[in-house]
Amino acid sequence: MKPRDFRHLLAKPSAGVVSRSRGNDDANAAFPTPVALLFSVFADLVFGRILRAAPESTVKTGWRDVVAGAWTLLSISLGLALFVNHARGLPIQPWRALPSATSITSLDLDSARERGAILIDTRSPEEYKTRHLSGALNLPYQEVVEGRRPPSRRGRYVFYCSPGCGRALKVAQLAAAEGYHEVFVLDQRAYVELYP
Amino acid sequence: MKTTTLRLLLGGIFLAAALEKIQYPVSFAEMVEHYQLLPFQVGVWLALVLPYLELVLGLALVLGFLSRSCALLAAGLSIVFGLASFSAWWRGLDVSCGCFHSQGPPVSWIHSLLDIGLLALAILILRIGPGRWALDDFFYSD
Repeated sequence: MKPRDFRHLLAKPSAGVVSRSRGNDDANAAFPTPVALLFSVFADLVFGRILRAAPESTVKTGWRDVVAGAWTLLSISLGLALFVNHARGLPIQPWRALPSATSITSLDLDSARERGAILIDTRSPEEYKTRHLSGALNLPYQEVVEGRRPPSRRGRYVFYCSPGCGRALKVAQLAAAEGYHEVFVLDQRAYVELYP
Repeated sequence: MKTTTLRLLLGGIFLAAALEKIQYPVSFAEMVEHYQLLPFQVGVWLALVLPYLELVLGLALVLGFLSRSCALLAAGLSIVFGLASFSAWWRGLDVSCGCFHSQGPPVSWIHSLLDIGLLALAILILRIGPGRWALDDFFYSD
């Protein structure tokens, strides 16, 4: 069984990132904390009342209070968990927050440089020689297909090619699938600098 | 007096188990995944919510608030934990228990026995009641 990566649970989208995948904050926005707390109180009131009002013949008095109390405790725990996890930036709806394995976030040029990312040009060497973004390394898509890879899995890489070409995304998805830790594609709007 | 001790013991165990998990939610999520019992996203959700149930149960048991309800839930939890660790041992999984610390000895039948002990504690409290020095005395005394 392939080990899964859990680090994205704690990842918070930073400013300047145009995200393709929904971060935790986005996922939690649809279910904010007050709603979580209201839900918990509501659940307790409704079900607790039903349980406590159950006729004697169906549930014995002693047990009825015990079960109703257990329901109250469950509601308190759920409310507390939602509240604290929301405050800590953890997903309270993980089924919405978890991105698929191949979803790649795009970065604009400024935030890429701000975060000290290595820019990787996936176009052909000729295109690279004509003009490339300052500081970018050349790793042609053809060579990636032949097995060449960015040097370290721990590096932070931003891939780009030409407008409308999908090679940067393909390389990024490949790298992410192979366990590279931080992989992005360059936001298409940054290509203005490349093709003025 | 005896049930007060039992209540404090069970509450303390739950508190100890909860705090580590709340501190390191990601490693607990990994642990739940290692058991290979639940679908990934259900496991993650459980890992994020379960520690708070343990925390509330622990606090309520120590304070003696809704003690018998706590004991009922604690009994349920210990049955679930016991079955999970037994199945992990039965399938020969080399996983840490994840009960108190993220790094621990691999899970085995001993953990199931400990869970049976917890179950016994919980059933005793459920049968006898909170004992002395419980908040229940203030709220629910006749």
